[in-house]
Amino acid sequence: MAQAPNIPNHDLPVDRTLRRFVVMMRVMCWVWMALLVAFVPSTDPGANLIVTFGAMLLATVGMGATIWVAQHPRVLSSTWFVVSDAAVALIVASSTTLAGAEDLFHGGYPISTIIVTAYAFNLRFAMVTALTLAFHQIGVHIIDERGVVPALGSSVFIVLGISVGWVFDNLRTQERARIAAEDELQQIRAAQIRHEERSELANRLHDSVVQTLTALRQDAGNPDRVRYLARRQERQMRQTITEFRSPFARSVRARLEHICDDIEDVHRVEIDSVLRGDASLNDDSEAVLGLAREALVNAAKHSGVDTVDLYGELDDGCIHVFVRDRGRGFDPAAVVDGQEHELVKRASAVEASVNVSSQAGEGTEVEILWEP
Amino acid sequence: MGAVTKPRIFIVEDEALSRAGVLHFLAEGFDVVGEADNVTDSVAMIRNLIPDLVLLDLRIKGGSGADVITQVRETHAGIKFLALTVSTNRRDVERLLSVGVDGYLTKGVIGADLPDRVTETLNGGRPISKQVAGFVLDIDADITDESGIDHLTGRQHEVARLIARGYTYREVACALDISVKTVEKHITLIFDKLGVASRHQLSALAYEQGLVETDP
Repeated sequence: MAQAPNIPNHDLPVDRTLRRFVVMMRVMCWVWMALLVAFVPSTDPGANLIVTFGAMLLATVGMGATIWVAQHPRVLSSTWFVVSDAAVALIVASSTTLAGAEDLFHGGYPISTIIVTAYAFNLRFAMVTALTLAFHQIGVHIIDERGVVPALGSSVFIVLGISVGWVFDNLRTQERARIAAEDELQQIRAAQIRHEERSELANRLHDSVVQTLTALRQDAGNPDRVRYLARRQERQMRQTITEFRSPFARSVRARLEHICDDIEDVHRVEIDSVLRGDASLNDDSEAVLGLAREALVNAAKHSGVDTVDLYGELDDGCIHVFVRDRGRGFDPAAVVDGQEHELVKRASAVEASVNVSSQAGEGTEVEILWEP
Repeated sequence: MGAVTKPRIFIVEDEALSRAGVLHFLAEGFDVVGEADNVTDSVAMIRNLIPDLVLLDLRIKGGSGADVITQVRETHAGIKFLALTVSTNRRDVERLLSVGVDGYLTKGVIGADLPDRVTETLNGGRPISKQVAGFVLDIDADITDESGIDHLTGRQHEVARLIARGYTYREVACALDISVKTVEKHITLIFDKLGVASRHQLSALAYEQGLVETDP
């Protein structure tokens, strides 16, 4: 079911732990080598000290590079870094023979290279590195005539290659499976929420439509009542949909539609609205909508027509509303202290501007602009 | 007067009630030559009957009214399409604009003025209802700078906004002190520009949803 997501190794959360492990092993292997090298001058007089300490210096540079590169996962897992690291390991692993020393002093350095390869690639490449280093060690033992039994000790490389490579691969696979499962769970939850929302919408629409249809059957003989019921149903449906579509818990748009519904019910006019955008409703925007309500009521009461146009641009920082009727209008010059004047006075209290244009017989348009 | 002189109209609509309503308003001045309720039949019948104008609903059986426009235009570029829908979904408006619809009315406003709107479309006009003008402004507002598509000009925006405010074309002309012909010219330019924007928007949407867009 759960498809392993295609996440690069170094983007997995477990990568941090693996990198720490790589660095820790490298440091411990370096300490191991450093302890052995420290005893070479006193216990192995025949060893070439320049070669011995040269190998130690090279191993130290390798360790420093690993610590530094561990902060950049892409570099630590890059081919060039792994190849350089393997080359350093081979040189260090050859240094006992090159120095003519009696005891092997390279300690764990080659081992830490197998771990680097397991981190950078996978089990297969860790095995390739482990086999290369093991055969190299067997070769070194044969050249130095150290005997078969110590040579077989190199099989520790292979054991380590298999175990570390396998553990790293598994940790990554598990992590991918976990992420995939979490993704799937999230999708299931989202689908569940969507389904619940859809059911609720369906229920609400169903109930309101059935109620209207029942009322229509009862009042079938009364055309006015039928028209009113049809219009009311349309409004209810629109409002339900607005509430579902709005990203806001309290929406300016839903509020304005609600205002229109109230006015349509009380004054038996039709408000034909085009609303764009939406915003979160607060005390300020509520006050601005109060102005729109008054303009709509004025149009409903005084215009003498049964349709009012409403256009609104609703935004968080701006509410711009036009209320227009094609009713009787008035002569602006003749009005001294009329309704519209009241609207302008109220507008200044909420820092909105109101512009009323009208001509006798041509209707009235009220523009309300609020840009706090 | 013989039926020959009347403009020939074809109706694509899958709601029997709406079809009856439309027929009622068009019965007198027009010759309704055929009706269909799905994409396949519509395309075949329109190609066969070659009407002057097709009145079409957006959501019909077997697809969308936009599919009918696309398919018919492949063979008959001259037929006019006037969309009539109840949809208040913006994507639907975008789909129709993207295929080059001639006019677009929302059903809420259909009434006695439907014959006028049909005649207007036949004469090269581009009628839109105020709801559609609102969507047009929304589509314009969503044009991003990096899309390389032009926004409406100040004048075009003004025209669309006045229509959304409930102005008739005549009233728009009066308010802006231009002729009705100029208003119609503006609407044509708006349709062209937003057709491009809608095509862009829809293909971006299809891309987002991982649908393969086979653009003709």
